[in-house]
Amino acid sequence: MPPSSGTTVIPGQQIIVADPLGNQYRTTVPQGVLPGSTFHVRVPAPTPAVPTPPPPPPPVPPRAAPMNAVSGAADGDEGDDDIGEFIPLNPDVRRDSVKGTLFSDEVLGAGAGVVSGAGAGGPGVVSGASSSTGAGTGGASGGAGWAAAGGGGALGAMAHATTRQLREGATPPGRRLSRLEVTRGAPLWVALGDGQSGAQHGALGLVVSSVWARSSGDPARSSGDPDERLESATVLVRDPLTDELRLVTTSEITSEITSEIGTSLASHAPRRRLQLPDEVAMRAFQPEGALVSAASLARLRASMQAALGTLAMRRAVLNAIPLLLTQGGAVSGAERDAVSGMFGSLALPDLHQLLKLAHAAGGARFEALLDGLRVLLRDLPLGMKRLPALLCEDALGHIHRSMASVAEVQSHHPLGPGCTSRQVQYAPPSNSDDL
Amino acid sequence: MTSDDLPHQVHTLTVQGAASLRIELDARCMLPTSPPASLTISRTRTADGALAKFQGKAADGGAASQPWLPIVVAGDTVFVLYEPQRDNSAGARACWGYRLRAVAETWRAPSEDETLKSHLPLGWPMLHLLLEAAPAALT
Repeated sequence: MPPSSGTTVIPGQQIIVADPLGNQYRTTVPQGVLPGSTFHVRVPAPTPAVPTPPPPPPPVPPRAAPMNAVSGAADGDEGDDDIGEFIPLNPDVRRDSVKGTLFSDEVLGAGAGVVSGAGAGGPGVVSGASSSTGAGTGGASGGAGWAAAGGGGALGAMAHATTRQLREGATPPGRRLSRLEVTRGAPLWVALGDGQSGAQHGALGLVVSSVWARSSGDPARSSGDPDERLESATVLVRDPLTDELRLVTTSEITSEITSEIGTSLASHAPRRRLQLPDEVAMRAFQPEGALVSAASLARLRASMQAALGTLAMRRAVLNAIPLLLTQGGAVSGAERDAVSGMFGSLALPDLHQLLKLAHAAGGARFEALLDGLRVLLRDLPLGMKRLPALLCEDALGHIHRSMASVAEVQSHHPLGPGCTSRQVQYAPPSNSDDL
Repeated sequence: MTSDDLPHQVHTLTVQGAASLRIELDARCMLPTSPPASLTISRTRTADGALAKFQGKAADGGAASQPWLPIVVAGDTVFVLYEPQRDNSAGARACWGYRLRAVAETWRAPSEDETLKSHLPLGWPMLHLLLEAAPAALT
């Protein structure tokens, strides 16, 4: 992984990583780590503002190989026996002063998480990403592992980007989330407000459940309903300030917090906002001009990580759908249960959307998916009787679009029977551009 | 002969959103080799970015230039340069009939949002699959 200086980091070389709060730690690349490989860096949890119960055990990230400590910086060892290989440089240094280098090093860790998720593929089998990113919450949500694996690594980088934006006072833009984006286990960025101070900080969470409503007040039917909107969502959140896992039910419509587990938030917290992490990253990459600074390059890298996260999500879907379709095939019970848990509540349009994502993932696995679809179409289960008509309508729509996507150019002399060799005279304007 | 020697026409073929274009020439085109007339598919508005050049007629495979088989080029835009023949005796320009069509061979990778809003890009294969597995859906 090249640092911002452009050289390649090799095993044994020291690098600087940072957690989402901007705390910096120096560590050494373990021996045996190849370019693109994953290694985890554990950092101490920040001292919580209030006493909190011990968090659930993390999803067992592999420990990094022992690293050489750097003398003269022992602040980070406090209160955590697991931390021995990391030495915080100076937690009080404002990240903005060195953001280019540090950000890119942080993305290094996040990137490894994404690659790990994409490679593992199958649902529920991917471990959490770098613990320095806070994405370890993925393993704590049971069947949500596939979603965490897809975006986990990238989320850390995005979390930092947004954290920095929140520090700078930027207001996250609102966007209506679709039902598909808020499926169980999907990563969401949650802006948590402090009702007393008015300050905001963000946290990454995984969706546990969601409630949808239509503008008219009627219950929402499916993701194809344009009037539906997310009313509330319960999200498993790891607070970057306290390193605490908690369930938070938050609303896009009202400012009321309906329930939460763990340390109480302020009772009059301001309205919260749910946001997709990839949108956060994309906003962080909004060009301010030419790529002239290390910070811009770091944002570019964050954007690339977001793209990788999207790809990993699609790969996970690609792996999951065949399991969904082959209900009685050679799928182990555990896998089938995991998939049923994830997709059991999906409506038919949602399955259609997932097929699109799976196709976008590409690769030979989609052929296997089509084979499974063929089997499914021959023996449609209840609730999917409309699937053939839906696929047919969609196929015709695509063909229609393809037919309309044609550009044609023709000479002044039209072609036609008997005209192929006829020479005609005309005086075309020089260098004309007909179309 | 270069494109600068004679006045020529430059056409732009664009299919928005395409990642690659399939360029097809009408089989009735005829572009004589002597005196020469040609169609050049180029990435730029000049022959410097030439990707393929068509001369002659479809039946003879276009002589020294590309046979008149469809070609696939990357991108959503190509320029078509028509270089007409010169009739030396009369000093007049002559042109022959031609027609090209560009269709999207592949589409640019859309964003997640665009992916969900667009059709599953498997029109004909999906109809074929339905014909096999659920023909009732096509009636």
